Amino acid sequence: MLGYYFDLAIRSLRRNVALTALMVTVVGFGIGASMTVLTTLRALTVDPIPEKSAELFVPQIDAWGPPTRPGGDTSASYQLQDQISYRDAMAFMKAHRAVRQTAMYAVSLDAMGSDAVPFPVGGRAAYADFFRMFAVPFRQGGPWSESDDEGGTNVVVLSAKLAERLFPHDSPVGKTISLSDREYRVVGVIDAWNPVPRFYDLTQGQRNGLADAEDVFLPFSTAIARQMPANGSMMCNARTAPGWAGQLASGCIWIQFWVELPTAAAARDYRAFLYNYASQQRQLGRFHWAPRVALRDVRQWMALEISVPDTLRVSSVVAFGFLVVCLTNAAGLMLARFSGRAGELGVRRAMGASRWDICLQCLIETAVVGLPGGLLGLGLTAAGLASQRALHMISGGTEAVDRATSLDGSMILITVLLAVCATVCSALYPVWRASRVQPAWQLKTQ
Amino acid sequence: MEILPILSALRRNKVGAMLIGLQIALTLAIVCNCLSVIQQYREQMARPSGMNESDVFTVINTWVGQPDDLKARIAADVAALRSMPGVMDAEATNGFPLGGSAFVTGINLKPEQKQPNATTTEYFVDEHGLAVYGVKLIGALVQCG
Repeated sequence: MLGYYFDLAIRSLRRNVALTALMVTVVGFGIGASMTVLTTLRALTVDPIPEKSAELFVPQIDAWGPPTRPGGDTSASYQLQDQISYRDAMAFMKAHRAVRQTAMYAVSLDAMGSDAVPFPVGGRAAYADFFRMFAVPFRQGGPWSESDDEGGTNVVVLSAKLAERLFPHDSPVGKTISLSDREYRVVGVIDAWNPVPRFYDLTQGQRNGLADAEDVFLPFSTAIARQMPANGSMMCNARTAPGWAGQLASGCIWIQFWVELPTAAAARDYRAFLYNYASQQRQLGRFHWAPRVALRDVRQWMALEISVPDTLRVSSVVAFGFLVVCLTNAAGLMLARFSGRAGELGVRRAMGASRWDICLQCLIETAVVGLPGGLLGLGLTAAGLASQRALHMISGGTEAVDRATSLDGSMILITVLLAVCATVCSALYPVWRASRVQPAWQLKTQ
Repeated sequence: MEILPILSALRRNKVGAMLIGLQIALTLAIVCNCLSVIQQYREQMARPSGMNESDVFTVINTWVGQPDDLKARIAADVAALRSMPGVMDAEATNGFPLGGSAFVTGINLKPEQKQPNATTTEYFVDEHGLAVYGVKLIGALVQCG
């Protein structure tokens, strides 16, 4: 029976090609506009590390206190800083209260190409735990050792991209490379890895999470010993003593800190540790306010830290408004179409078709309109995303922005499903009207 | 034009007429709102930055490592730029409007304030700075300490 209705739908749609094309276009444009925005929005909110997102946490403490807040705000609603100072980072590392932990910050380095021309690369100073915590896949070699973490050894882990650029023909592991005029030994090469959003450091760029993963990773202690300046957000609450030592001793916040806590009990214990640490700092006379701490997992952290770009906010309002307009107009066209076919439907009713049969027939007909509408919408979504990329409407790393503005399998499915569902929903009233056709009245007029 | 038959036809199919009216109203409401949102956004983008945007070019030089004579090298580069024909002026700075990254400082809007309640961007420039940015000095503040 469904096949027959499908056949009927095709026939009736072919009878009025112009009207059908109009409906398909209307649905397609609405879907295209809204899916363009939805694809990018989804990229900013998707869980980048689903298997571990509930086990990775960012500890926060109130290191600056109410005096630095507007009006000396003492309420608990005020957001704690999203980074910590070198001093606190070292204290957390030394305490070693989590299964794994890493302090880290972004640095900017100059790599020497094989043609002796230097080029800038993004680097990240971190502890060896970084790679296991964030499940970074290795192509060759592995992370550096814990003694490298302590000793500030000149070792690096390279991204696959940089490794291929520097060593196009042979294996880089064990070789030395020059970074900012210093020699480093390559201990590992990571496989393609670029979490979007780049949850582990959301402070760079426009804070939209669309920064690319770095190309060079090196021990935190090495970067500190080399006095590598932070290539990211650095915030100070007071004048600092000059020089590198002044920065390390200051209350300036510029370090990201992550801990891995596999169980709820471990998270509870860590929160207690943070609270004790803050109280202790108060007793030592460093903090002059009641301790306030927070421990947020990946999802909570992203919800708090990722700022959806204004362009995207504006376009989502515009696009979904446009979808509603398109669907309303599609419903109008549907209504006109079904009322024009009252005679035919009346005959079917008179010949024994129930109201439900008529409903089903009309619904299938709208779904048949929705499907090409969805396909058109898919094309327009791809075009919309391409123009978003071409116009640089979203700023961030090249790869991350590319990923955020590409359609994957699930988005394609969502697009087509949304088109069919939206069309069918918009046609509910026209279908109901069509099923109320009085057969006797229709037959009489015929 | 015969308008009465149209009106009477509309009166006979009240729900249909109402629906068409609603559809037009909804379409207009949403489309107008969207247009005004876009318009507001465009205005925001067109807001003048206050600097001479069309004639200022940025040159970025990346130093490999941290050379000891960085200051002298920068000064030499800037001097070379200034002496180039067609270049009106040049300066070395930590940033510029619309540049993407900035040095931001909290400021007090009133002298008696203890806590800053606003933020501003700081550009570190020499005496050529204002001329290069193409801005006019309307007041000066000397900070001590």
